[in-house]
Amino acid sequence: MVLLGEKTDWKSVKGVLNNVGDFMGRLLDYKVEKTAERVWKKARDGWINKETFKPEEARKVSVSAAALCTWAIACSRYQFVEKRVAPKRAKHKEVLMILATAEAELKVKLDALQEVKDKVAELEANCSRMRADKEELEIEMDRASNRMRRAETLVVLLADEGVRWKETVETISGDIERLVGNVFLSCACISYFGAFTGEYREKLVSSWVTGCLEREIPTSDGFSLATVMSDPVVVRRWNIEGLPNDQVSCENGILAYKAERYALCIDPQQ
Amino acid sequence: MNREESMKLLKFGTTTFLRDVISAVRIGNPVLVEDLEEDVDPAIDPILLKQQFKTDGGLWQIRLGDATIDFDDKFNLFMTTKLPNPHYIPEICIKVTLINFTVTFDGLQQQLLGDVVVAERPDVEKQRDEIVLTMAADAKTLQELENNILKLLSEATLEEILDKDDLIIILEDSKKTSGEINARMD
Repeated sequence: MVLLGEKTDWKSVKGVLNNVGDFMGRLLDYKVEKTAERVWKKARDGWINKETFKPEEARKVSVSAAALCTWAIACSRYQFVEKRVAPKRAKHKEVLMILATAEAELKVKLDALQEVKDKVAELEANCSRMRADKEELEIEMDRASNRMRRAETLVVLLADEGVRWKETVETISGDIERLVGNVFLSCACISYFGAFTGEYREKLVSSWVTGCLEREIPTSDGFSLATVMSDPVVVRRWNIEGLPNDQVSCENGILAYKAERYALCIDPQQ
Repeated sequence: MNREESMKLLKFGTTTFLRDVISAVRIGNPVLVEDLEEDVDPAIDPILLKQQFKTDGGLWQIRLGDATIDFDDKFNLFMTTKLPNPHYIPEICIKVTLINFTVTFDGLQQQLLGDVVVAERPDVEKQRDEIVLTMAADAKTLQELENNILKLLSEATLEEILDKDDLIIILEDSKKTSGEINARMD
């Protein structure tokens, strides 16, 4: 009765026990934890720890009392154990909570880690792309500098050629301009001056040149048949084969080779 | 000039003259008629006037004397006279090229100078010879290099010119050669 929080006098007990259904319900719903320690102490000191409070003794009086007695002892033991387990349970709960918190924190950290890892991967990809770019640029640069080098060499070399070619162009364009007069005079020489000796030939040619220049026919100033019509290599061959090495002989050779008509040579010293 | 090709020496008035000329015309031998006086045998007028003609078969032929004969284009004719101051009538002058080999004082001087140089300083003469030869060769080389350069320049694209060393090598060659030639000329 103490455990149920009722008074222990006979009248009260009788009242409670008479209401059998309610009493059974109260026993079944009984929560050990909810009964205060003070009540437990009172119940143990008063009944449960006494020698006579045993089911066997109680059975001598009443079967119901024995059952009640068993229940009370069981409850007492349970409470005793429960009293020690409760803090542990609380502690357990607390630890679990800490664990959960820790796990949550861990998860956050792991997420952060993953994020960082992703970032690293991205940066690495970036880096390798940059490296590839750099290599490509280096190759490009190499080619460009090679080209630059070549271009410079070319410009220098072509400038040299340019000087020479410019001279050639000047010479040739001068030659072309004077072609008319030079060829005209060459024809005249070949046709007409063969019969004369060197001295007369010179006079003749110089008068022709003057005549050409007066009539504004472009002609070389120092016109000479040998310059216009002969190849030095051929003349040299003639010399080797016995042609005397002087201007008249050279002109005679040209006449003999270039003239359309057959040659009649006046050679009194033969 | 044609020493190596068996030149025939003939004279006007010999009995075999025309026959010899005909055979020379056929074969293409050069002929030298020596010791002319102041007239030319009219028998060879067709040759002097170049009266050869082309047949339907594409052959060159000429009428000499009574015969029509093949005309070889290697045939050549020279005539010489020893007369110191010959007078040829205009009819002859228009048929031939008169070439006066008479040695004048100036000409003789030049000839003798040349001979003296050959005799006294063969090295100088030889040098001159070599210079003439190398100059001709150099000119040819330069011409070839120039052609090469222009060919490369006109055929290649800009990238090709810049990516290949061909042009540079040729240009350097050309520069070297022209440098050498200029050095020689100096």
